[in-house]
Amino acid sequence: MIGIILTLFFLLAIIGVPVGIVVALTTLFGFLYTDNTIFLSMISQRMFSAMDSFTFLALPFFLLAGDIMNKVGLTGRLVDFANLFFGRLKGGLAQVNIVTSIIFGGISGAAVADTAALGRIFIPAMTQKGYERDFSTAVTVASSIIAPIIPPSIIMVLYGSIMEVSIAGLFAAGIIPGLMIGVALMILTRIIAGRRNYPTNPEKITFPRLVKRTRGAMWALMMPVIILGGILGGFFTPTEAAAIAVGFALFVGLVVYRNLTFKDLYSIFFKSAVTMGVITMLLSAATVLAWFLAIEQIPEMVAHIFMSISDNKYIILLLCNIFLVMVGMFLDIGPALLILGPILAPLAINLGVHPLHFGIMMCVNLNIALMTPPMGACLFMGMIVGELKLGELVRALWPFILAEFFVLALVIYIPAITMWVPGMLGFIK
Amino acid sequence: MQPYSRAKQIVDTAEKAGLAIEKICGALCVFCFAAMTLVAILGVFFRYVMQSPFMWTEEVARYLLVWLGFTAVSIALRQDKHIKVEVLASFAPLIVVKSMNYIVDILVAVFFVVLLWQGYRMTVNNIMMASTFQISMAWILAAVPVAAALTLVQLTLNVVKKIFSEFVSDSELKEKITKGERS
Repeated sequence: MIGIILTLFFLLAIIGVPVGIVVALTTLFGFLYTDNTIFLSMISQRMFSAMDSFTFLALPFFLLAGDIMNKVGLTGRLVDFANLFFGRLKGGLAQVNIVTSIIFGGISGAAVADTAALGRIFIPAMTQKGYERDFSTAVTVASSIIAPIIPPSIIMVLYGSIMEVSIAGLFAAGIIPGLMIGVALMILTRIIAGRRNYPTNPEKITFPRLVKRTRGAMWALMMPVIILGGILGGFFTPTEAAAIAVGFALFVGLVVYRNLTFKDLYSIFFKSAVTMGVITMLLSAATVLAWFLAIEQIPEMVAHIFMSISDNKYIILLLCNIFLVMVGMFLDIGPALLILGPILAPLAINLGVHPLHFGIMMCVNLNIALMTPPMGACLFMGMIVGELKLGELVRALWPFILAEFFVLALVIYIPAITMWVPGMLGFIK
Repeated sequence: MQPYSRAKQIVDTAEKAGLAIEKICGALCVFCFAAMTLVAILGVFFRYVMQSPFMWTEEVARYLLVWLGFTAVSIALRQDKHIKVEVLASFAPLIVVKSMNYIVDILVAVFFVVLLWQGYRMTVNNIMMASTFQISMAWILAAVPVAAALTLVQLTLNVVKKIFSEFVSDSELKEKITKGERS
């Protein structure tokens, strides 16, 4: 059974059927194969109920809030603000690039958006200051995966929706791993910058400058405070916080800076709507698949295969992660999370891994996969924005990938990194 | 020589029809998205500021999301935005890729026909009512078959474009390009 499903899945995926439809067709075939044609009606019903969810509503709102903030031009102001403090480090602009990704992570929840938005600002600015183009692009790509690990995070909403894990809990658990990746990248950048003697920002921190930059970035900085403070403090649900984020972004664009026209808004809504079409297809199809796999007891069979290799928790986690890295090389993070979450999570939870810990581990792992060759959305976006060939980018990128795998290993084997914040805030019962 | 061949006309008409349907669906999506945002913000406002929550805001936002998400599936298909694994396209010869694309289109069509059929059954057999409004749930369930139908229409138009652009001669393509540069 597993063999036939897997073969069909890969065959359909490789000839280029969209992944959401691959998932749906595989399930359809599964129904016919097990002679359960009565289940056919479940396809439309499960697809519908996957979308009819208040929790999932957070996703379109976070998507929209990030897009509006970008359009309003808050990203540039954040860069100026971060430059005043972190530009003074060796390899100033590269450090600012990473720090901006961390702050940006508190506003937007998508890595590719971060690569595109920050790449367009940083890559020209950095090459002008004498940084190599491949290094500048590599820093941008490597730091962009911090955005979906630091809350709010679109992929965590997806994961929480299909796995029925608390989204606020996932958000809380993502904070420290996200910051750790940031710090690891900054240390690595410092080492490389020292060797290549990259410049620093000569500006001194003076009081008027501090006031001016802070005022410029004030609105952008308030956003993560409202969103995270609201969710983590238990004031709002993630969906409510996401709606407030959109309202706030609209307020900043329409009232404060007044650089948002009706036409802009229409095209932002339209663009986000098309993305929602893609996500709808994926999430709804994956929900049907997860249901089918559960009644066919596929997760148990997969668990059995893994357990036959070893029954040691740490070895199983290692195997899961190697498997995820391999899948992530070819499959985008959304479908990989939605398809593999329901299969792998029960196995890990059986071994005593906390659902939040496993969820964050999957998110971090598959996020790194976004920039591992041969393919990945952030890698490709980096090639476009940085105007580089795959080989050129990978040559500059690999030390950063190694640093991130090191953080991943820490996240896997030290549960406290993920569990401390949610435990403290009372998200773990 | 005729300036436009029959094939070119068919390709252009299919493109225009697809774009028109996309625009209409897009307007519906933007409306749902904007209304959803407004309703959700209203919900938060009444719950926290006025201390008297509206029960209907959550439900309406969910229903708008259903219509938005499913309608957008057809737009994403027309714009070729659905995520896929693009391994074959970068290695295989052009003729293989082209014929594979037709097989992919057929497989996609199979799924949406099943979804249309099952979605239609789900909608007409529905006996539930939406909880806070006295309307039939069928109005919301209908998003599924409608989306399947729209996607099938866009898929057909895409295939028609693909087939007939094979017959459009090079000179016409060139003419189109130079015209495009001038305008």
